[in-house]
Amino acid sequence: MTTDHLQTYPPLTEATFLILLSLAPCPKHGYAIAKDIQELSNARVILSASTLYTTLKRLLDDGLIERSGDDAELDETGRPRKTYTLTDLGRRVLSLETVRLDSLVAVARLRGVVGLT
Amino acid sequence: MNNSLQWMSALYGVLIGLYPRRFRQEFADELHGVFIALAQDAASAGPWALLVFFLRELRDFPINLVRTHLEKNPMSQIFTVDSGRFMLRGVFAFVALWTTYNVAFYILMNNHGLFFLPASFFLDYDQVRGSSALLLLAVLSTSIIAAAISGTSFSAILGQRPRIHWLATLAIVTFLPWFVPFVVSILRPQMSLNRSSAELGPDLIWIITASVLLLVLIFGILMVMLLKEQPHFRWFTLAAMAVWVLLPMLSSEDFQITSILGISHLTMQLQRTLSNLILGACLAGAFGTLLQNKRKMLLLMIIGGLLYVFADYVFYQHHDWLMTTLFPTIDFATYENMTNAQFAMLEGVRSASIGLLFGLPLALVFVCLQKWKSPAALQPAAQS
Repeated sequence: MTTDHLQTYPPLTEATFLILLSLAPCPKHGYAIAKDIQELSNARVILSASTLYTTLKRLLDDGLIERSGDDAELDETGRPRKTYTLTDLGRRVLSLETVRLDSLVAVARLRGVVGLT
Repeated sequence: MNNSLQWMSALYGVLIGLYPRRFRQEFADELHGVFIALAQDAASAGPWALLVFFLRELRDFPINLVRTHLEKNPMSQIFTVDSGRFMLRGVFAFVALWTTYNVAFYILMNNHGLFFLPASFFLDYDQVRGSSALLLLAVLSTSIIAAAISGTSFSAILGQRPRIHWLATLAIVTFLPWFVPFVVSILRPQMSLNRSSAELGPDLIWIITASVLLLVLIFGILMVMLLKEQPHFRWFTLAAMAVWVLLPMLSSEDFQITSILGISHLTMQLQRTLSNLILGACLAGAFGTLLQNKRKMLLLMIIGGLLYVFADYVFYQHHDWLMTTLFPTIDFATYENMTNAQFAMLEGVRSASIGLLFGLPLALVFVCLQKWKSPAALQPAAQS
């Protein structure tokens, strides 16, 4: 993956950023990601199941996350519970986006935006 | 699980069936499981929370469904968030150049601009000769657009396959944007030479058609092989090539296809609309891809623009000498003694000359630019 390719990812959508962020500390399954995002955003962002899985699929296709099938467990309804893990590329994209957002916030601070100073 | 949850779960299960098969095979069970788990959480907070949850799911479902179906189709990847924003910038650049080009042509020819002509006329403006600032503007606009097409082809190919035998791709891309439109121009001989189909003969027309289709097929296969990672660009390019070839054929009186189909009155409108739409989409995609690196794009456009004017000047300065040497028996003032075979040869020589004069040097510039890593591009690597 070249740096030119990395450059095309940011800016990430809020849902994408939060999913990557949720997976940063440890691998999680779908339901845990949804709950974690709710918590991370103080219930401001609540992902629907379809949005969560459409985004997960795209991230899988782009190689930003991996899905492990070996240690698949079943949930209480007997359905499979696959685990999602952040890849190295995903981690790099997340860090690139964080730097980008950080620089935006820094500029806002310099301009004395209310709530940041 | 209470009744509300049960029917919600059943309804959602039916809705999941609307997703593409591959998506269902991979995610249906998980998606349904997470939906039920989230619904149970909402239900535990009360009926109002459950209703809000369900409405949210219903609101998002069709959007995600359409998105997933579109992602299944490689051509529609132009609409994804990442490529879409580049394409949108490309659309603005394209519209600006397209408008300039048309205004210049309108004033020069006191006639319709290319908005009203099929896309196969796009690079064929040799009937407009003269010297004025407007002509220069028109030529520059064309060359910038042409540079975008061939530039994108080349950078896309090299970008994905840096170790590919680039000399082979050099040859392809040199002639790709030029050869097809020029060969297609043979298919509308009445327009360029005022020849009737009876004069050309149906056999020759079909031979030329078959050759063009074969050529497009070869290019198509090469594009599919070389541009694996650029599906949107690949499909738009193929579509544009197909339109360039097929639409003039559709409207050509020689083939009488429209008469057979009974859509003669619609042909020109269809041809204009479709060809411009697809060409526009192709170029917007091309511009969009180029716009990912502004510095390189600017360089390509300047070099491409200047190079095309130079190539055009050199070609027409030596055009008569070249043609009279190659075809000594033809009267180029009237074209009266020209045989069908000579006409086809002449078009081939024309396209090859322009390709060599413009495409080859431009392709070499692309190679250099592709290998050149700007400091801005290296910066994120250091950060990450």
